[in-house]
Amino acid sequence: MRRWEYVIRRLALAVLVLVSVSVITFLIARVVPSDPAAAWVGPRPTPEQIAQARRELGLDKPLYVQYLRYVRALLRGDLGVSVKTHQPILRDLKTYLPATMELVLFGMLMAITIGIPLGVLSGAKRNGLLDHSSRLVAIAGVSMPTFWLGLLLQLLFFGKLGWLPLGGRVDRSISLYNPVQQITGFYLVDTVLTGNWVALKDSLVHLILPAFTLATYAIGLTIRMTRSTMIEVLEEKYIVAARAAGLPERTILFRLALKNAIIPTLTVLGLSFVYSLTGAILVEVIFSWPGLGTYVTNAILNVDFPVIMAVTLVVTVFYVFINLFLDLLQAALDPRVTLG
Amino acid sequence: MTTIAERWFGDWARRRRSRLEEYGLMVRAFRRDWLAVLSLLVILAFVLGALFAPHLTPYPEEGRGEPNIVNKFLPPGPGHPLGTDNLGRDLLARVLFGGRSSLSIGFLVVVIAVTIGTPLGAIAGTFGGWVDETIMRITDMFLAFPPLLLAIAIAAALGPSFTNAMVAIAFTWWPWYTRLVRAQTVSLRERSFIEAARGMGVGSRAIILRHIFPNVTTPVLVQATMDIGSAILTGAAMSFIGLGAQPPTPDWGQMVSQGRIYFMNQPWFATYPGLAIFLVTLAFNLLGDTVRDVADPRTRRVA
Repeated sequence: MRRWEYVIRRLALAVLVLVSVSVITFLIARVVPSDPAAAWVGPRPTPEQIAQARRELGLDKPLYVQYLRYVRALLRGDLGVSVKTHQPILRDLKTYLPATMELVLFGMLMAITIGIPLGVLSGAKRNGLLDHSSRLVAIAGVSMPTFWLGLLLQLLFFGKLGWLPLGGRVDRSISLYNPVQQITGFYLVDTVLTGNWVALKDSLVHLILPAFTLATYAIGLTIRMTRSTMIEVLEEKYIVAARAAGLPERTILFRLALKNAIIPTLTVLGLSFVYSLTGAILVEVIFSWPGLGTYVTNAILNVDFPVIMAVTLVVTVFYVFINLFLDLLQAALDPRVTLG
Repeated sequence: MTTIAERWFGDWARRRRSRLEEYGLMVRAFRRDWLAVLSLLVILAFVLGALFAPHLTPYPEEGRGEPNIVNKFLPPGPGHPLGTDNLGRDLLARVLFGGRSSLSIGFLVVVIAVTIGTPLGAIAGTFGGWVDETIMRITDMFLAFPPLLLAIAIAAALGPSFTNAMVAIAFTWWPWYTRLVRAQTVSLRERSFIEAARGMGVGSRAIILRHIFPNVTTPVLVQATMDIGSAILTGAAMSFIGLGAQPPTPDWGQMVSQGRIYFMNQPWFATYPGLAIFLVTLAFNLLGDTVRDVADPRTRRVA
């Protein structure tokens, strides 16, 4: 019974938050000093054209009417129209959002496959060489400006070694001769579905640098969190018992201890996932990745407020839901979590 | 035994003896951590470099933004230890001057956030009830946004400038302090010295000012030290996407963004301002970690 109360309370809070998020994005778009109607018409508008645009955009109505319209449109999935291109934003998002998601998810995969083993081993050999170097990696990872790290990696792996491409999702020759058919928008999935193996390999190669750049923060956090919980868990009696029974170290570390050390790490991974959503903005600019970040930074340059607010809203909705999911997951996984 | 502080400040220090002794222990523990001391020195070097930039470089007008196009893209060498940029300006001068906006945005964001967040948290924690509920639901609302994204949206709406970027980041930062201070206040509220003050008829205002504030100072200062690094990093990110200090005023994030186009052939242009961001952030993060450990008697290592 208590558990259900908690879930309902948490859901109600999420709804409240979503409503306030829409109010805030709406208000930010309203306090804009520049006139949206003038921006809509284009350069050198006449006063009549501006008045016309004002009526068309509903800017002459009272503020609460405008807000209700905005919300009604949102609920229909209408995110508005770009001031710059006059294209519906939803259509743009259908190509940009999967690109960002693919980048972020691949980065999380890297964080898991690199961060967790390193964390387990540093926890097992406390104050060893690996532990000290992983502490260094972790603290450097959270202090590094991602955009700068991306540049350095480009200089090394593209400029000096020539191993990896500079940026983009696929090579130009691929988009000319073996174009990726858009099904889900995730290139790794789409190329497998259509059996386009050349493009699959190429998109993988293009993912490595930006995903790693994005993941450094998450890798650092994951190492530290796994390490500290491992240290706690390794002192528990069942581990001592397992050691006494002569189980191999591998089994003790990765099967017995990790199982209990993984829960706090999952939370950290979830947090890094939501952080990566915004971190991707900077990484995408560096690697010319055609995702939400590129979309929103172009919108900033073009003073395209509907796009900026739509991206803010969409990413925030993701953020809210992932946080909700994490809270519920943690409550489900760990019986010791006090609900309230 | 009289301490140095008591000899110098007499009665004032005697009444605060235990607190001053505590600070003395913190300083001693801090000095034992060479990494933290080194971090402090790095930070001081950058701060002094930014303050005295006009006297430290032979090219102060280039540092402020005046172009010298005949010298463009000189690699690091004699006369220009870090090379020159796309407009021929001495990069060392630009990096020193750039510290002015890049460092101050970090400090100011945290100062604004503390100034807004602390009183709100103390009020929420002291009064409880609907006041508490209202303040905390507002902080929930702000924390529901991804931090960098809300700052970008606000700064974009206000228009790109140093002040607007600072305001936008601070706007997303204060709720953390409200949460921290409220949690501290709630646990203080039940303690007997506050109950005694209430029993003697001391008003809520005086309780907040005389009893809550002095007792939340340490945790707030610790959090603030730990936050400056990420505030600087956020400020650099904002100016990297063009929402911070505008050229010709130098700023590290903005310089990386300009140097990015030339990175393959003239890597020094974007490397050094980026290195400055990294070193300062790293130093603040290391410093913050130590300050946190030192401020807590349980993690402090004194011997």
